[in-house]
Order: sequence, then C-alpha cells, then structure tokens
Amino acid sequence: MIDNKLTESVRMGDRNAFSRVLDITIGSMLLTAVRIVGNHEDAEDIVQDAYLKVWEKRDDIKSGGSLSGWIRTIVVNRCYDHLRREKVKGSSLPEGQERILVSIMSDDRADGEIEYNEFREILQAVTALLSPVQRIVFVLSEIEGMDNGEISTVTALSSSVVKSNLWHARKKVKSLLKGIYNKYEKL
Amino acid sequence: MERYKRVTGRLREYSFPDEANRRVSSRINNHIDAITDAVTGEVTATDRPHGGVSFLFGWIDMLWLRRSLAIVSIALLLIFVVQHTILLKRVGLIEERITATTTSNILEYQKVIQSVVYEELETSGLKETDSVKVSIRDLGKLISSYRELQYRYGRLKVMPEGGIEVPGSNPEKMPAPLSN
Repeated sequence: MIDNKLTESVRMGDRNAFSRVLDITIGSMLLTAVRIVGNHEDAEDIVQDAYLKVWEKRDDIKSGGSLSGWIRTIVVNRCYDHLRREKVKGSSLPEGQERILVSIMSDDRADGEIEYNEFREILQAVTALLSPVQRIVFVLSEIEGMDNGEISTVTALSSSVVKSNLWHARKKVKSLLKGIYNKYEKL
Repeated sequence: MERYKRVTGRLREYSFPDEANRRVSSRINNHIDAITDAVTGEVTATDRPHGGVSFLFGWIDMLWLRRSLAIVSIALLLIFVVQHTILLKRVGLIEERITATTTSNILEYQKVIQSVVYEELETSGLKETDSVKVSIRDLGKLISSYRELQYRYGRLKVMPEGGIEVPGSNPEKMPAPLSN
C-alpha cells in the first residue's frame, strides 16, 4: 500500500522510498502491460521506461494523489504508443489460435494454470481485430476488472469514448468467438 | 455470452512470473542508480578543477581547511575593526593636541611682541608718552620681522625669562628698533 508519506518521500527524491514503491507496484504494472501488448519482452521494456519516467518526473507527483494510479497511466500510455507503432491489428487468425479458443469455449481448458504461450495465443486471437484504443479499453475492463470511471481516469479518455470503444470491442470479440465456434462446431 | 466469459476469464488467470517481476525491478533500480551516479559524476567532474588548477585549488575539497580559513578570516576582520576604532580614537586625540599646541604657540608669540615693543619703548624713553607714532613702513618691518621669527623659531614654545635668546642669529637682520 502506498501512503501519502511514501508518495511524498518519492517526490523528494528518496531512492529507498522509490524502491519500495517499485516492489509494491511492479507486479501489477507488468501484468497490465503484458495483458495489453501481449508479450513479456515488450511489457518489460514498457514498464521499465515508465518507471524511469516516473523517477525523472517525480517533481510532478501531486501531494495526496494516487501514485500507483499515476504510474499505471504512464504504463498504459506507453502501451498505447507501442500498439500504434507496431500496428498489431490483424484481419484473420492462424488455425492454431482458433483451435485454442474453441477448446476454451468448449470448457476443455477452463480450469488449471494457464501457460504463457497459451495466454499469448488467446490474447492475440481475441484482440486481433481491435484498434489500439479498443484493445486497451477491453483489457482494462474485461481482464483487469476496472469500471468505466477508472478506465477514464487511467486513459484520460472521456467516459462516453470509453463506453463507445468498449461496446465496439465487446461486439467484435463476441462476433469473432461466435464465428470460430460455429466454424469448428460444424466440423 | 458464456463462451465470451470463459475466454476473458481464462485470460484473467494468467499472472506475470515472480522471477520476471524481480528481474525487471532490479533492472529498473540498476538503471536509476546508473543515471543518478552518472549525473552525480558529471556534477563532480564539472566542479573539480584539473591539472595545474587542481594543484593550486585542490585544497578546496578539504572541508576542515575551508572551515578553518573561514574562521581565521572572520577573526582577522574583527581584529581589523578593533584596530581601526583604536586608530581613529588616537588620531582624534592627536588632532586635539595639535590645536591646543598651535593656540599656545600663538599666545607665546604675542608675549614676545609685547615684550619686544615694551623693551624698545623703555630704551627709547618713550614709555611715559601717551601715544607713539609709527610709520606704515616701520610697522610693516615689524610684522615681517615677526613673521620671520615665527618661521625660524616656530618650535620654540617656552619663553625664557628676560627675552628670547636666539643662537646663531644675525643681529643685522633683526628688526630695527621702533623710532618716532
């Protein structure tokens, strides 16, 4: 838990305080990043850059504000820049990814630990048709479990834009899953 | 809807490995330390003099020396102020003494004139007369002689009884006695 005292210490340039903040938040930030960008390497680079920026801009930390929220905003913004650069949006899925999705939808793999490779394949498949903003809003809402207000704060998007993008994202994902399921059910 | 929930639920189950968390955390810490060290190093390198300058001014890095020099400079400043005050007082005293001495000298000279004039009057037998006629020329001579005396024997303060005895003086240059 990051209290005001710890936030203030970071603002004053206390390295130990920053290390404590890092220990508290790093896991959560890495998870958010990997859920958005879909792979460890990029997520690690993004999170590293984000923390360096936080340290560099520590004077801008507002007293009484949420430091973890501010860090998350920077991480999400970096993820957005990465998605725009990479242009990861695709139009069709490889057959392997489709089969994984079908097995999950058929309840074959509903339980048990999920491996990294499986996670990557599913995420890539599910978000393949989404724009960067839709992908971020979808991940923050459906995987991270944030409500629209929280997403709006983290992404600096208006509530109506969040709602609209989330509606479109859900619609696309549902349509995709339905198409794949129907295709394999007939086989 | 059920299928959608299953897929998103499955994605939610993934967690970033702890070792990866530690690795990234360590990387960030190292990076920040490197940046901080680089910045500190740059500042130190910029501030620190090099070569001959270092030889001359290298002592500024010694804190104890800087403090000692600061204390010594403050002590010297205090001594200077005290000395200056004492000097000013003494100069004031000397000025007062000079003024007093000059005044007493003038009084002494006046006595000399009076005695000379009275002596002349007595020797010339004019003491009993009410008035004496002195020509402008003679008065001028008297004044110039007095000034010469004042110039030559300015330091003579004490008037010995019975008049002034001037060693090595030329009697011919002495002013002529008053005459009617």
